[in-house]
Amino acid sequence: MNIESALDEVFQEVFNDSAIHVTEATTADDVDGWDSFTYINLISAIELHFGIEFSQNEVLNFENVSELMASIREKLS
Amino acid sequence: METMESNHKLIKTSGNLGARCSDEQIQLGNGEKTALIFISSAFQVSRYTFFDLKRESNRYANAFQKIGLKAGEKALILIPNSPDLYFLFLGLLKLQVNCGIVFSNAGAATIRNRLVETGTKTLITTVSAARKYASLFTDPDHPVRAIVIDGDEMTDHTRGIRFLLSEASVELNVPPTHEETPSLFHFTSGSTGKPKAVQHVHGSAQNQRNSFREVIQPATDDVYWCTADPGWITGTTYGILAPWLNGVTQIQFAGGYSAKNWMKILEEQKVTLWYSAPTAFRMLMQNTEAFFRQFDLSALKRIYSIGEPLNPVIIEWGSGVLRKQIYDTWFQTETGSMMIANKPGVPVRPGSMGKPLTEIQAEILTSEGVPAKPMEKGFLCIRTPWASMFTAYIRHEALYQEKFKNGYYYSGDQAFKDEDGYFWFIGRNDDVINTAGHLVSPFEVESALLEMDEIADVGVTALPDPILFEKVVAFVKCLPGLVLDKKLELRIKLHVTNRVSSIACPRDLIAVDRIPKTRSGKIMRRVLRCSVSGEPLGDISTMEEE
Repeated sequence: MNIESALDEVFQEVFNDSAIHVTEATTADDVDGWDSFTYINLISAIELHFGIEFSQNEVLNFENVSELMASIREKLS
Repeated sequence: METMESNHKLIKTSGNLGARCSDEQIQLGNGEKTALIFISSAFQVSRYTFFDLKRESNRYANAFQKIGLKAGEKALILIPNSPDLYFLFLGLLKLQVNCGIVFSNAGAATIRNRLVETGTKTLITTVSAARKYASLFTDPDHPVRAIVIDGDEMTDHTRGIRFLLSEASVELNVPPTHEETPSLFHFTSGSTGKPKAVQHVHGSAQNQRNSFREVIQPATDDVYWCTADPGWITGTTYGILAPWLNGVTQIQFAGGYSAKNWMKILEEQKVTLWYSAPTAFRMLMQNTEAFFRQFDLSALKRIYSIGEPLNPVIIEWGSGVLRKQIYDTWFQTETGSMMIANKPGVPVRPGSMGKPLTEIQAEILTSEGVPAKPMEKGFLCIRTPWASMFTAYIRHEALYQEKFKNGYYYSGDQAFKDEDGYFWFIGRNDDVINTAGHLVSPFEVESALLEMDEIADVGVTALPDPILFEKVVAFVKCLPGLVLDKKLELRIKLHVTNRVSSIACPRDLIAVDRIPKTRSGKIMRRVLRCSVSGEPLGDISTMEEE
């Protein structure tokens, strides 16, 4: 599975913006509308899309998309 | 240390809010002083003096004038937090354009409602936002034109002004501005109907400047930071206008909440005066004391709070962990500036809103409209008029008049006053939800949810939350055969976020078979709340039969 393109879809749905393209360097500040509230929606959407679950500690400590991708990869492997 | 009182002298002024924040500060000798320290989300720091504020706001005013924006017109600003947001806002004020700033997490429906509700036909925005919200410009019922500041594209609905800006003069004769001239509008939520636009005027500067001086008590070399989004009344009044009306250096940060980044800003920028909100403090409190010890916060003198009642436990945390006093303050979108506050020099009673400001007469009135006795619960009211008092709910004159009775403004809050004149907040006397310091209308959330095909009926209310003070909770009756599973929950949350705002997004969704209503069809939110809290339902004689 290409995680990056799957994440693009999730981000586009969550932030209602078909032009979003995420990279490993993407952070909250790069995406219009990303705040502490939408972040919760984003995590739920990723969990549903990939059929995985993040721990509370992980959710609190992701600093960028790279860390998010690494965690998804690990859970899918 | 010189205090701000030295600047308190008579000067020639146009009475214009935009000019008073920039041109007037130059007349007062603050031209070379840093007005704005702007920190990008990538932590790039730019500094702008009051000379810069004047020049750049003039440039915007001239460019706007050139494309036909006129005094008395309305414009809505949808611009990411950037120095240009502040320059163009002051430029619009200088032109006497009546403007509103859209908060950063507004959804498409919210933006459209704001345009339609106020009859605003101009949206000042960026290329990317104009693309994202393109449907706004072709709405046959309410056509809107976009003025795009970072492009030169010209279409039927879009006017790019990037080149115009680069060529625009930095000289401007700001027209004399009467104190009753409309300046800006903000939206506030009621328990029914859509949010209403609250109109303010240029004369509000008096209370904005004086309240800041009385409560925040800035000194000449202070560095001030208000963390509120510029789209909210606190962000506009105390994150743009009041500090600059007092010639104070202030910080703006484009990034969102992050305990580490916020502490870094306090440390690196040597912030001395910090204005934030209880929700933010409660989020910070989740960090250990050792976390805060990594940062040198010795420059910080005082902390202020706004938006929701400040729990005593937060004040204790501030004194213990940050080693600073946190002062609670109270005002509303309608009041335009602080009305009641705790301030240096007056002992703080933890949990109290403080005392009315010098220029304000606040009172607790009983249901008979007479002053309540000490400790007696009643309606929190403000004696009219005061300079920053709102002048209208745009297009809702009857609702506006309903807020006033016998020379008092009724705030909608319930409170009591103790024997020493301290005010204590009890709660709202309507259904408005105060979540993270922002007022959310349950009606607005319900309206968005009822747009969804899967939902047959819905009731929205508030439940207590340890971080947010109150959280938005939606009781959902799905169409027959549908189940409120995780997928539908997510769809519902995304729908509200993208239609209304992320703040209005329900934190909890509860599946129900029916929504309790009165026989006249009004949702009984109290019954919904009690179904979760387990409290007695009370009088349900008006509830419709199944």
